[in-house]
Amino acid sequence: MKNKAAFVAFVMVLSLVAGVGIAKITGYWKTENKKVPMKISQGEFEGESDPDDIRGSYSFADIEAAFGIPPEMTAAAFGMTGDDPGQIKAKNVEETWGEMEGGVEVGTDSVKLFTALWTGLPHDAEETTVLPAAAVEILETYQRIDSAKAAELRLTAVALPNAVGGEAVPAESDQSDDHEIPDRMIRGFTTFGDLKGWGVTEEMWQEKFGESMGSRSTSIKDWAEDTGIPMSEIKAIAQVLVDSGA
Amino acid sequence: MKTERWRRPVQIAFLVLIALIAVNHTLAENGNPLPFVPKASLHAVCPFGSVVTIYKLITEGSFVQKLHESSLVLGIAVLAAAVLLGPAFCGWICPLGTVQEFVAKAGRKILGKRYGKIIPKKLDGILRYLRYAVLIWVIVMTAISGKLIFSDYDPYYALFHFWTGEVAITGFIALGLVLALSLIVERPFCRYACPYGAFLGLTNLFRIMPIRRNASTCISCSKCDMACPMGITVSNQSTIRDTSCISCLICTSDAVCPVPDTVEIKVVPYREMKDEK
Ligand code: SF4
Ligand code: SF4
Repeated sequence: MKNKAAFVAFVMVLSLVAGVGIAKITGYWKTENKKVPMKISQGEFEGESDPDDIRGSYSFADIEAAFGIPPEMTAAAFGMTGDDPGQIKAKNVEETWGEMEGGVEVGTDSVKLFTALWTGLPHDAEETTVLPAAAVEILETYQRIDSAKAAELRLTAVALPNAVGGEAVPAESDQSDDHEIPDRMIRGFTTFGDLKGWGVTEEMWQEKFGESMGSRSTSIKDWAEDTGIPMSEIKAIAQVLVDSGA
Repeated sequence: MKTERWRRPVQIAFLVLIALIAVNHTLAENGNPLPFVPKASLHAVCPFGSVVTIYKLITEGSFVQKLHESSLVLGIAVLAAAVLLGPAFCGWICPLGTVQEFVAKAGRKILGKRYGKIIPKKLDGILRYLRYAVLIWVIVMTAISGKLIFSDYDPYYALFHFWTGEVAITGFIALGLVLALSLIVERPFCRYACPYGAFLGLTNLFRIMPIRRNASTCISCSKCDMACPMGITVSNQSTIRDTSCISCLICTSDAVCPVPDTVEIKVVPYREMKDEK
């Protein structure tokens, strides 16, 4: 072996290429996470998925798989819209909203907090982390938190401007009271008249639910009872339709 | 120099590859990845990940956040090569080592003969232990927190992520310090702070093919000593077992040593290992 430099170059490149090659052939080469949060290892919640371990790269569908929150719900809570709410990632929330006026932040940690409150699991949120007002509203409506907790969260919650196509950027809220609930929030008593007024069309509705809209005076709660479609699903999807049609 | 004709292209190829992977990761996140370039994150292709995740891997069989099986694969490949050749990863592959060498060229132009002599030898000797402290700190803190704590201080991470908004201010400070110090001393990060260099450096103690000097043909010109980027005195040893050696081969007869077959990387026969000096 006369040329030692060529030998070293060869060994180094070969060891890396061979290592990667063998790993690929055996299926061991993985450069991405399985997107499954760690389990809580001790205490009351031992064995449950840990909201603390949700990472920016987790999509709302990953969160649904681990915590059972419908992606439409998470999307509605964070004012995120898009064709497929399941594909929206926690870090998209941070990119879309991020730091807000007053030094507070709506980001990945807010998604962790929302998940923790929804599931009743523990999460120590950062001091600057806040929830959107819509998220608090959803948590309260679905009885995931009591009214005292909701009132406490509302003290810091922020009203997000309407997000369109998932690309909205934080803007000055035109609502004088930051703690007000956005007026296009879907609730049980919301009527189809309200929905139509907010831009939801018969076509959009049928595409999502495969059923016609109710009459203008029918509330979505009554419609849910009539059709047997879970209220949680209707609210979450309707919220996305309202936000995207706004 | 025969050595540099091989080493430089390999260094530049890996520097370009890593830069491309880093940029492509950002592009992929925005939905526009480059074709034929891996979309992996830099953490996923960093062999040091295999060292920092070792505790979690042994105790839980899983990886620290942001690390994946790929880090372990690369770590094993680099370690296997190091058992044979020592930390050639540092001398031939690591892009941060390459960047420090480029900055050193400018430093040499500015300081001339004073380059590398500003830090007193004694202090340099003491500071070299620092990287072992960093290595222990990184492994322990990563084991405790389960997070990649070093990335907030890692100049390598800062160098290849400066555009992402994910780099902590401490990372930028570390990178600035490394680049500034490279103007007065060669490879300051490798010498004093790199935990992976510290880890791989241990293979110098038992590597199969160390750097060897033939005392009977050596003319004691000290050219090897002056050229060694890690400041090792080669001219008074027969086998280099210094943990700082990065197998760059610059000291060898294929590079600066003027006498043929006098400084070489070669196998030490087992029976000679015991009486190595
Ligand atoms: S010591 Fe560290 S920074 Fe230097 S070349 Fe080796 S791995 Fe890279
Ligand atoms: S002893 Fe030789 S091979 Fe080792 S770092 Fe110094 S110049 Fe490079």
